[in-house]
Parts: sequence; structure tokens; C-alpha cells
Amino acid sequence: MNTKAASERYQRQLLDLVKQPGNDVCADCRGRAPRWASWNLGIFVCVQCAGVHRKMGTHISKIKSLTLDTWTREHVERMKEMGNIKSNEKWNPDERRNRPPANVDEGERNSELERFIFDKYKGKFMEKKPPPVPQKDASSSSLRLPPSPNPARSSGVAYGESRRRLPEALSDSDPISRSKTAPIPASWAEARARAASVSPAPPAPRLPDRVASSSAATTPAQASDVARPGPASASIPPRASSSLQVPVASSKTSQTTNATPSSSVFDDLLQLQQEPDSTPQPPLQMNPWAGMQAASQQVQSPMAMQPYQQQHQAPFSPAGNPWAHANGNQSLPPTNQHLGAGFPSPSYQPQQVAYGGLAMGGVIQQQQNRSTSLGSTAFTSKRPSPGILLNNPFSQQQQPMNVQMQQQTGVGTGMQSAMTGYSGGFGDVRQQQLQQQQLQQQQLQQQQQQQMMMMGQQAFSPGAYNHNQQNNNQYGSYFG
Amino acid sequence: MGATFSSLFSSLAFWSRNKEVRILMLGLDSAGKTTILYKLQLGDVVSTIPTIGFNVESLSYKNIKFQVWDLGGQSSIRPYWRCYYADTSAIIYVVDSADKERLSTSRTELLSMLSEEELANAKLLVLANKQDLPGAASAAEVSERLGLDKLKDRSWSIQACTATEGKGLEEGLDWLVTAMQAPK
Repeated sequence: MNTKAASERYQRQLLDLVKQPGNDVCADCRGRAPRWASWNLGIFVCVQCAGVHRKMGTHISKIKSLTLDTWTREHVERMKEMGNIKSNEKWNPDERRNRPPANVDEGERNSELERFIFDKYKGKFMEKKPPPVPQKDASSSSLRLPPSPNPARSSGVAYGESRRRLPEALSDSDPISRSKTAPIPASWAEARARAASVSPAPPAPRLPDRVASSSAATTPAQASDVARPGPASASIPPRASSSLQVPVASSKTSQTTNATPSSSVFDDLLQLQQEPDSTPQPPLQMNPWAGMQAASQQVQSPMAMQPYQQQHQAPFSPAGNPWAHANGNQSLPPTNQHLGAGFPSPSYQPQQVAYGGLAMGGVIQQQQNRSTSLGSTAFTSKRPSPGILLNNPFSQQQQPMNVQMQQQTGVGTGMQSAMTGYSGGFGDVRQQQLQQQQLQQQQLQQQQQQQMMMMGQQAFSPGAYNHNQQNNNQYGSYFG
Repeated sequence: MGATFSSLFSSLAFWSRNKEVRILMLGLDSAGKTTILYKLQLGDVVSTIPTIGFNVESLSYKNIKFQVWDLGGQSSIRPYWRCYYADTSAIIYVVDSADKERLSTSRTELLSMLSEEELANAKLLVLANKQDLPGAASAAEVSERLGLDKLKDRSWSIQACTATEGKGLEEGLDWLVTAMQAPK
């Protein structure tokens, strides 16, 4: 029914739609760059809110991924007709009164967000008496970005209050939800700057400069600028505090890399976690769930690799099984190992991370969407995904395993720096070439990875197993 | 020592101390696979986000260790399920019983999966999830819509369940355990 060409066309339409003002932030939590949609409600949402929508059931909301699901014309039309602004006018006409939970603890926020979304789509907010007209305009203007005669005045009286809290909300070291549901940016000046240099793909190495210059403008005092007229192209601007923190974070990361080649991966991860925004915020094509998943892959990777590598090794080429490879790369990212030395620029490399770290998304998008460069800038948060990995015992068990693997395979330092993730930087122009190189090198690398995978098996069982590296490999035949 | 154990229980390979029964949990997106996995493992309902890739956990049930793979169900990642078929003892196929519109899609995916040779010996447990939702199809209805009764040479069962409440999950696993212990 859906020809390939048609579904590609629909996807393009969707990706255009999601860039439109209003659609470029999550309909529920205002997180940036939504990559999911509820096609029956006609809204674009972030991955976390998508999770909540799924919880409500398909009789309320039918969630699809913009990039990982197949769309039909009917569904795309629905998205066109509705959109976030219209939907919010319907379901939450008084946004000032019913604000999404933005600045509470992670756990609390999840449940609050859940309650908010449930209430919203059960129509609880609809019954509220309609707000006075000017207020309504003011609050919805944040989504519509109408031209304001006087930027300094800021049309967002209603909104300003919540905006002003953003920086502090972001500065609390909330590792997960911020990255996924980051509030919309605080400054449209910044947005313009970003838009000019960013789309369609961000030249990564320039990020810190740009960010540093714009960071001066993004103080809490100016947060109310949010409603200033923005570029109609409405690319997703960065949020204020990320711009403040990125330079710090990246330099810190590279320091870590250089100074402590033998430190454990834990240290790196911890460090990253203490700095919620050390993950560079790839602006337009941000792909938050990819990062989440990649993070989850990371902790699970040794096991994940095992079945494929043992059993499918011959029939599948390295590129033929993106999962296994993505996983392999995640625990042993290829980037720095063979490329990092050649391109030691200090910034981030979203595409590389996406390629190596993304389980499904990166690979698929690479296959399907390279032209739209959708998948090109997934970022890895290096943090476990909420709910799941917080409870995942493997996240405890397998991290040390990575360290062990590094040491034993003798690529310790290279991988160590790779594990920190952000130390090698690549201009976007180079990235495609690099990916090709990567493909080739992956084949070479596969052997290495297999070695790792054999060891990875032990990561599957806690503790005691790890001592018996050699023996276990021999035991393999008994149990196989 | 490991070898001794292995030979002792060679007829019941999955009893073996060190061998885990490998189970794939599949189904359309939003069927509840991840929720079931963590409900089984932790006894809790976690807040999930759509799985891009997979989750894998080991859990023990009635002295059997399961290694449960929960693979993402978005349409464009379903083709990658096959990468995980080998050496799979059982499939838990999760269906959103309330999403009747997509039962036919679910059926298509199920049948194409079962046609794979690698899964010829895998037991099939279908979980008709989300029974708590209004308008959810009963297990019998789901079974019919999926065409389970037409399956040949397959040990299968369907179990109605509500993952968030934990209802029906143990019953499903009970069947699985029994089915795997039964001689082929």
C-alpha cells in the first residue's frame, strides 16, 4: 500500500512539519525537537511524553515515531491539520494556569508529567473558564512567535515567570529529563545565531565559539525575550544554560581524557553526569531518544553482542547487523580509536556518536534519511534511560567490564578516551567520508570486538565470572 | 565440574546451572513489552519510553533462568528482530488487545516471524495485554484475529494479561515453563 517513495515523501512532509513554530517543541512539556507524534491527536511530542501517551492507551493517543514508523497519507494529513498550537488551544487553552511540570526532581517530574498529560487529554483543562483574551495571546505567543513591536517589553508576561526559572531548573544536575525534554530556548537572538549557522547540519567544531558568544546574551534577566519575533524557519535553538555549559564541559571532558588515561570509565561517566549539559546540545536534529537508547545499549552491550557475533557472524556482514554493531561500537566506539587521533578537535561529534552509539535509530536513519540528515546528530547522553536503566542491574555490572575489556585487549587508552565520547570532533563535511572509513574499519575491528564479546559474556553474570576470563572461554564449549 | 552438570542434565538443557533459556519478547510498538519485562523482573511498573533497540534482563522463575530480550517494535526496526532469532527457546508475543485496529498488522508480523526456520522449535506464548483498557479484545478474540488456531507444528498458548497490574503474567510463564519441560 505504501510505496517506498510515498513513505519517504510523507516522512519529508513530517520533518518539515515538525520544524514549524509550535511543532518544534514538545506539545506537552515544551522539550525541544520532538521526534515522536500522536497522529490521532495531531501533535508532536518528545520521547518521554510519548512514553506517557502510550501509557494512556491507543484509545486516547496513538504514538508513532517520526522516523522509525511508517506513515500513511491519512496520518500525515492529520498532523498537518492539527499541530501543537491548535491542539494546545483545544486541550489546554489556559497554559498559564496549567503549566507542564518543569522544575521538580526527576522522579517527581515523571509522575507530575504523567499526571499533567493524563489530565490534559482527559479534558480536565478544557473545562477551565477561558482566560482573558490578552493573556491567552500572551501565553500562546510563546508558541506562535508573533512579531512583537517591542522586543524588550516581551509579550510573555505570563510566560516570563516560567521562563525565568529555566536556568536554575537546568542547573540542577538532572541527568535525564533535561536532555530529553529540555525547555525551549531562552533567547531568540541565540536562536537566530544558531539557525544561521546550524541548518541543515551543525558544523560541530564551531559550536563552542558560537555558544560562547551567544551565552553572554542569555542570562536569566533576558529570559523573557523568548517571545520575541523569531526567524520563520524556526530551527531549534539551544537553551540558555546549555550554551553556558558546553564550553566548560567539553574542555573538562578532554582534560579528563588526556589526564587520566587509566581512570575507570566510571569516572568519566560520573563526571558527565555531574554536568548535565556536558552533552553538547545538537540543535536542529537533536535526537534525544537515540542518546537514551545508546546509553542503554552501552551498559548492555557485552551481552547484546554475544548472540549475534557468535551465531550470525558468517551470514551477516558488519553493516548487515546494525544492532550488533551499534552495540559493539558503543562499548568500543570506533571514533576515537581510529579517527580521533587524526581529528583531535575539541568539540563534539554528534554524527559519530550517533553512528557508533545508536542502536537502531542511527543506523536506520543513516540508511533512510541521510539526505534529511535526521539521524546525523543524535547525541549520546551517556546516561541510563529513566525508569529502565535506573533499575537495570547491568548498568552496575557491565561498566567495569568495559574497563576490563579495554585493558585486556590492549587498546585501553584509545578506548578510554572514546568512552568519554566527546573528545574527537568532526566537521560535518568530513563526516560522511569518515563514516565510510568507519565502515571499512569496522570490519577490521570486528575481530577485536569479538574478542571483547567473548569477554562480554562474562559481564552478563556478576562478579565471580569476571575473574575467570580465560577459563570461561574454554568452558564455552561445555555449555555451548 | 561444569561439564558434569551439563551431561547430567543434558536432556533438560535449560535446567543447567549456567545456561539460561533465551526468550524473545516481540510485538508491535506500544504493546507493552518493556513494561512486562520490568514488571517480571522488578515487580514494578516503570515509566518506559519507546524502545529503540532492545532491553535484556535475566530473570528466574521457578528455578529456571530466563534471559529475556525485549526488542523494539517500531515498524522500521522490526526487520531486525531476525538478528535475534537463533537459539531462541521461546517467543513471548505481546499484543495490545485494546488496539484492535492493528491486530491485523500484529498478525502479519507474527506469521512472518513464525515462518522463520530458526524459530521452528520455539514455543509461542501470546500475551493479550492491556485487558484493563476499555474495549480490549478478549484472549479468545485476539487468538482468532491472530489466527493462532491455524498454526501448525507449534506449541503455543495465549494468555490475557494486564502488565501494569501484573495480572496474567505468571500464568503465562507457568505455561512456558511447562511447555519447555515437555518432551518435544
